[in-house]
Amino acid sequence: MQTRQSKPSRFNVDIWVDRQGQDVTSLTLGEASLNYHIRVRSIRKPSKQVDLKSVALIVAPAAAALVQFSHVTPLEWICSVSTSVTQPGASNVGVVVDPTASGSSNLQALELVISDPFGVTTETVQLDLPLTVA
Amino acid sequence: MEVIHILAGPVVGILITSLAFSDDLFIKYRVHAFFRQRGVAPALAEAIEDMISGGIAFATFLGNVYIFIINSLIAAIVFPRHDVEIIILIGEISSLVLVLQASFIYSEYDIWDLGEICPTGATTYDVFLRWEQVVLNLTMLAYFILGLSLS
Repeated sequence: MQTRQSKPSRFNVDIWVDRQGQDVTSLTLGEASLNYHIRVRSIRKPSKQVDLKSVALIVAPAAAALVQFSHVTPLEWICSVSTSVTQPGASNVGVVVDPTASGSSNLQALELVISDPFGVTTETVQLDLPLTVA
Repeated sequence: MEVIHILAGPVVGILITSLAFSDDLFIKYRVHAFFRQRGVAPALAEAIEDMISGGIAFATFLGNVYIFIINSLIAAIVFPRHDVEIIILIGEISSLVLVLQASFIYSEYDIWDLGEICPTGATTYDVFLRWEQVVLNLTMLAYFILGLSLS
């Protein structure tokens, strides 16, 4: 599991990929029963609406992302959660592994959009989840 | 008469803290009434009230830190001379801890956030600061009573 804290609002973001409940970073070709998870924790008492953008990066020398989201936009997934000090926000999406090419891949959480009564603010997270496909 | 003079510091501290608490409640009540009267969205009103509460709590906390430091200096003057080294040491260490805490809050958090953040998960930081002020004042009063009994 990878963890990063946003600044300055101090939301803690965890991202990981699991296979049947097990946290994994080594994936096999064509694997489909995987889930990409995000969890956003907060030290704030009022519940906050948070959107988190995650992207599937293309890591050279591969020409395409070896691990993609099972989503209409396979290279990008934006989830929306509510989080407070007593109730972390969590969401997940399926991921698919390329059936033919092996190598390194990377899923990255990179943008946190916070909605509160004052409006919307965006913070950078820059959280990498390096994966290997073999 | 001398006892009254010696205890004046911590008693004034307790009085100021009590007045600050009631001022805090009064200001929050007025702000709440203002927002309700103007029909401000409840979520926005609550967020602003939390911000104001955090700012006031931090301001009164800083006020109590200053009072604590001044009382520590008074203690070094009025307590028994043969204990002056330990009295100065207690005053310096506890004042340093409080100044470090105030600096940490100021550098680590936005002071407007104090009304809604709960670093320990139990209570918001503004409420924690208020209880800390109560403890500070009671500790200082007990410290002075102890000093008087030794002199």
